[in-house]
Amino acid sequence: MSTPSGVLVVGASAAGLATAEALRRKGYGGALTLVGDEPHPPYDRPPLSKQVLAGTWTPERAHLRTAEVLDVLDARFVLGDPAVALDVPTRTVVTASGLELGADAVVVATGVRPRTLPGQADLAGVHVLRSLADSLALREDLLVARRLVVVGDGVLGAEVAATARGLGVDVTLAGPQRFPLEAQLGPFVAGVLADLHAERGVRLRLGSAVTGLTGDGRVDGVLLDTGEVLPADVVVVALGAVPATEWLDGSGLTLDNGLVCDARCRAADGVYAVGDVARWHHDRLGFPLRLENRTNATEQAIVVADNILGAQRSYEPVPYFWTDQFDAKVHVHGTPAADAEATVVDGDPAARRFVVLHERDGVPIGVLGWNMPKQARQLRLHHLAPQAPLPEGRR
Amino acid sequence: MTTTPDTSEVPHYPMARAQGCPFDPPPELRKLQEEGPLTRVRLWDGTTPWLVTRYADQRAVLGDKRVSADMTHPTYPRQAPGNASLSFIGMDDPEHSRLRRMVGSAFMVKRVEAMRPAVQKIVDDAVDALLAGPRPVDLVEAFALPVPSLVICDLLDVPYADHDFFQGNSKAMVNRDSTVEERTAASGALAEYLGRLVARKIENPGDDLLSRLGEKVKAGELTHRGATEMAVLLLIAGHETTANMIALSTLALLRDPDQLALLRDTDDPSVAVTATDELLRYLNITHGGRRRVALEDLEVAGQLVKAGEGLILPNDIANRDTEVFTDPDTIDVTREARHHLAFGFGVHQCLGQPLARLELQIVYRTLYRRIPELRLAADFEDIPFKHDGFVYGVYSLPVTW
Repeated sequence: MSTPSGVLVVGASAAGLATAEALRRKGYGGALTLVGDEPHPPYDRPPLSKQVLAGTWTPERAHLRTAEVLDVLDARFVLGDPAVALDVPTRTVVTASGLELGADAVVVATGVRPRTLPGQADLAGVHVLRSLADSLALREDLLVARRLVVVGDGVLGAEVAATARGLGVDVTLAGPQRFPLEAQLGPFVAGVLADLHAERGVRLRLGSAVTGLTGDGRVDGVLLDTGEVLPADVVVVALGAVPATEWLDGSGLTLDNGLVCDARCRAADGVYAVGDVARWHHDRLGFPLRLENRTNATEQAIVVADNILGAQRSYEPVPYFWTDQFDAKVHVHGTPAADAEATVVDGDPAARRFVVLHERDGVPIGVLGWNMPKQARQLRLHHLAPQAPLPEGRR
Repeated sequence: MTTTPDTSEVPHYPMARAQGCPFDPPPELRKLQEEGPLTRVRLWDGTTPWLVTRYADQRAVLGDKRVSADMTHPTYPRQAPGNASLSFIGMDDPEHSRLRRMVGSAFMVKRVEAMRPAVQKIVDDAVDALLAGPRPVDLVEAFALPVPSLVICDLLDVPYADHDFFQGNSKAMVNRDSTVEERTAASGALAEYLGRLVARKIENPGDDLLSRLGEKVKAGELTHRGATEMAVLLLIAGHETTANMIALSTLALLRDPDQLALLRDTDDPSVAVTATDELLRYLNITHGGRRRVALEDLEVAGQLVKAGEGLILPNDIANRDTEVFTDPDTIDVTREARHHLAFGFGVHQCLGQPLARLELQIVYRTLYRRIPELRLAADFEDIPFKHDGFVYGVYSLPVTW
């Protein structure tokens, strides 16, 4: 494949920017355009539920690059103008304002959008958290809130609960699992996390599904499937996210819980996907995978940039994410599972410094570190298959 | 009574590092640390000062007013022939404090923190230049040296037009390929330049460090020569040290990709903070041992050290003391290692440490994120280490991405 003369990246967040930067680093000198639906320059999302929400960072500090650095990238940024359609044969993207942008290679990096509860749009005081604007709006409400209910017991919900508690708000965390993050961490580590939240004064109302919201104009409660109502003046809905692929309906691309790609992150000839939206075939694991985490955005972007420039690289990472809640820094490598056998292999859970190994049928599948990131990484190296997407020189 | 030790069995100091372990202290030094807190070593000039190997004892000595840092003391254990006096580094109180206070305010955490945007800009621009330049590239020449040099330009308010002159000469001063004459000429030119700059600041003071020194000269508290010496000290202390840390720590991280990934991927800014101190602890870069001379008889770890005897306190071995650091021979960028001795301890503790920390933190939060595929472009075995330098590091570091 010849070097493209124009690359269009749809999505101007971490994965889109990382793709553009990797192309330039690898010597790509052609036209480069990034299209983003938000008006802001690229920013980082992990701080939105932590430092930005807590107010310890100004919003600008979450920007991934300064204006000067973006200048040097020599890319055209079309911001605040979402893509609404892609014509695959001609690789032409149409934006909401009517721009038609053509390119030799199109990179889909549109991320995900939060799931919502029925009727939540009509109630004031109900928030989702995905964008900088979401984070700032939530912070404004939290500063005067008395009772926050977080709907959703995953990573985002638990992080918001921890941050809000740090702001002195009365917080209830509601969700269907027995412990927060049980699906991601397994019952053992999730149980320690539940203890931590309880100690820090988060009310855990877990084990019941949320069925709706109550209120007239402004939210005043969260309805559980038990019939119980949790009173609230602010609610955060953190029920996970769905890939932002609506704009690709009718494009002919395969959409199934993400933009479906081959092992090289290619959805069609000259069309690639990267980041939260990409569901690519992980060759070594042998099944399609979609990862919503920050490290994946950078590492997948490097592989996609290589492949745009003619390489034939498969993307085979060991999945990795981290979460910070109160004083806990939890680092998760591989694919831990709720039904895996969990063994403490280092440290001491009572001291809140430990590493847990997850095994299924005697095969290691995940390593979880609690305030022991270094040891967790070392065990990851030892137990999990070597990480494939390293640059050639390090293999 | 004076006992002259039998020097035939006294080990030489400094000692050689083990082949293939360029980040670790010499094995002989480790052995001495395991064997006991104090031992005699023999220096280049045949003298046999005490070597203090353990962290706690080094801190005790560095905090003791009965020891002197006066390099002109007749039995001061000198690192090499010659009498390089570097302003207040080689003086005792009260003169040391009087001079140090004149520049101290410039390095107060709050003032240094105000330099953050300017330092970030310097680092951003340097990464831009790397990315726009050829590959592979020598990271020392293209990044590690220019960044601290430009930060010092900023600190001393060196006019922009003089940056090239300033950088060119500071580079020649530390370049291994420079001849002795070239190095002397470069440092002479810089000293002369800084002297003129001080004179200019006396005429036209601004809100910068040299202008404050200029005021002291005008008030008669400092000679013009003393002010120039201090400016040279700040240049040397702030330039080569930080440059070596940037290059050496990047090499250490490239050899430990897990630690590099941990630092690169987190949104938690405290990791760059802990990584900075951990890498300082692990790498030290000053490997010649801190030097002192006892002014009175004193006891160190149960051993009598007599007045006039020299003391050598190598921070590289103290920072690997298992009594203080768990698993000291591995890098853990999340470790709380701020109490390391890489900046020394006591009244002479590095004045510029807030600035050094700031520069390193910004480099660690910028370089590896902007170039996540950064990798060595040479065999590790072929990287030239500064085994012969006063400041440890690498002479060159070929990288690509």
